[in-house]
Amino acid sequence: MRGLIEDQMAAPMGAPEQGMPADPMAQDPMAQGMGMEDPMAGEMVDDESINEDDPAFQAALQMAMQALYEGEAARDVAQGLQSAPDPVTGLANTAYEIVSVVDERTEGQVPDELLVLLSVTILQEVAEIGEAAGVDTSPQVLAEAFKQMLLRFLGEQGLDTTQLEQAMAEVDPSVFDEAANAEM
Amino acid sequence: MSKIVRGVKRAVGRVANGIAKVVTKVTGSKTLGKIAKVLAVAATIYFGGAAIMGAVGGATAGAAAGTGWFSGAVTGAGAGISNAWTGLKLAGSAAMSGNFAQAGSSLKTGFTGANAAGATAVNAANMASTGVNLATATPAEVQRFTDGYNTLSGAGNPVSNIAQTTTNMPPGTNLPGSKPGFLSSDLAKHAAVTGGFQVGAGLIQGAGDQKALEAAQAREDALRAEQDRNMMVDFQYGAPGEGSGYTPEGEAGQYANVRYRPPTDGPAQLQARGGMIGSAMRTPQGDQYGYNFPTYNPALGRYGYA
Repeated sequence: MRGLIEDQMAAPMGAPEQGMPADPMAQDPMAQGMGMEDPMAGEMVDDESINEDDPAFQAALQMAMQALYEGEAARDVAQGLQSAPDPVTGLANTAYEIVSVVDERTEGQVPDELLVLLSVTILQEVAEIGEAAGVDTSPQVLAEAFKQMLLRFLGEQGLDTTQLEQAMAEVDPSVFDEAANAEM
Repeated sequence: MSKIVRGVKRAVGRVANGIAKVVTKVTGSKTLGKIAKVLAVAATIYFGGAAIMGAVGGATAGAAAGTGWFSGAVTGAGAGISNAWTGLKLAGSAAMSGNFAQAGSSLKTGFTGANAAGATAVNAANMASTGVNLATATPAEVQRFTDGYNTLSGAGNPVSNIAQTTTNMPPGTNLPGSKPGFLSSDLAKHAAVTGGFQVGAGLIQGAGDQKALEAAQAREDALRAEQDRNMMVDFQYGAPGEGSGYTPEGEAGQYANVRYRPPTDGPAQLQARGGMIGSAMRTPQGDQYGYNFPTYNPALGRYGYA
């Protein structure tokens, strides 16, 4: 799946997207330390710092959408979801791979606080593709997919997610059914 | 490695306040569908929970203790579960009703509780790793040490004042709250003795320092008093110029040996020293140091300015 997505992304994304510098790492001195441990890890930020108009975030989102719809990766995604062992795994893994590829293609320029928004947005797109392809996208499946994707992110960075998984298991899945029918 | 993997831990830690806006953005579409709504709630609950349980407090305390972010995070995650999910359940309920501001507030509340719990857990672990604390483990051993210290000090010893303080603690008396049998462990005994010697060494060192300081202060006071006395004599009975054995009339018997000694320091040094001669007495017509000393005036029958 990842290979297909990357193939679709490679062609249209050869040139830098709008809003993205040709070499973002070279132009943004703050980005030079991306690989370093952030001494401010754990810092709480206010709502105003969540700026979805961020150029890097918009470029990443555009890159994903172009790959899915202009590059016709959506068809591959649909086939991948249909052939996945279960809908939850299919949705979670597909969204995870797309987010990871987009993140790499944008050279990690998406602000940290927008990574979750990016992940949720892409998972939403993947889920809509799956829904169109007849894949089960019930509320509980969607919630479980998001949970798996999040746990995979945390697990692959070396965190022991055992206790987090246990705590997550305490959530009554029916709340997501209620959410789907709730007026918002 | 993708940045998403590296950066998500920072995002987890930073999301507590921002989660409300994040999910608001997710649900910002006018055609909010089922998928968006479900994912908004899922993000609130699961990602918010991860933020709460991501052990930001534990991570901070762990980093401060030098144990690193990872171990602190793990410890804090374990400690923060109950607090985290209390706020999380409230956040989920709020999000389901569309009140994302309330959801963010609930998450923040849980976040704070988890933060404190995580930090406490790490601190407790660090304390345990540093060994037995003398104050909590060894009341009897402290008494034993102070008894011996009494013997060592003796009457007239420079540290007798310290020994005196221990006489209010009868030998063999445990401090309130002591636990019989607690010192049965060899490890505890060893730690107690080691800690006792450290305390004793500190007391002795402190006593020595105190005595040395007092002696130095006494020497300085004596020197200062002598200087002030000399300055007073010079002021009242001296004469300008070199010391000449000048004796005030009618006072030869009492002050026969008084000599005027011009100050060896310059005006600045004298002023800094706070002597009797101040800057107000310096005049352009003064001596080589600028001081205009009063002279004996026979008409007045005393020293004074002409």
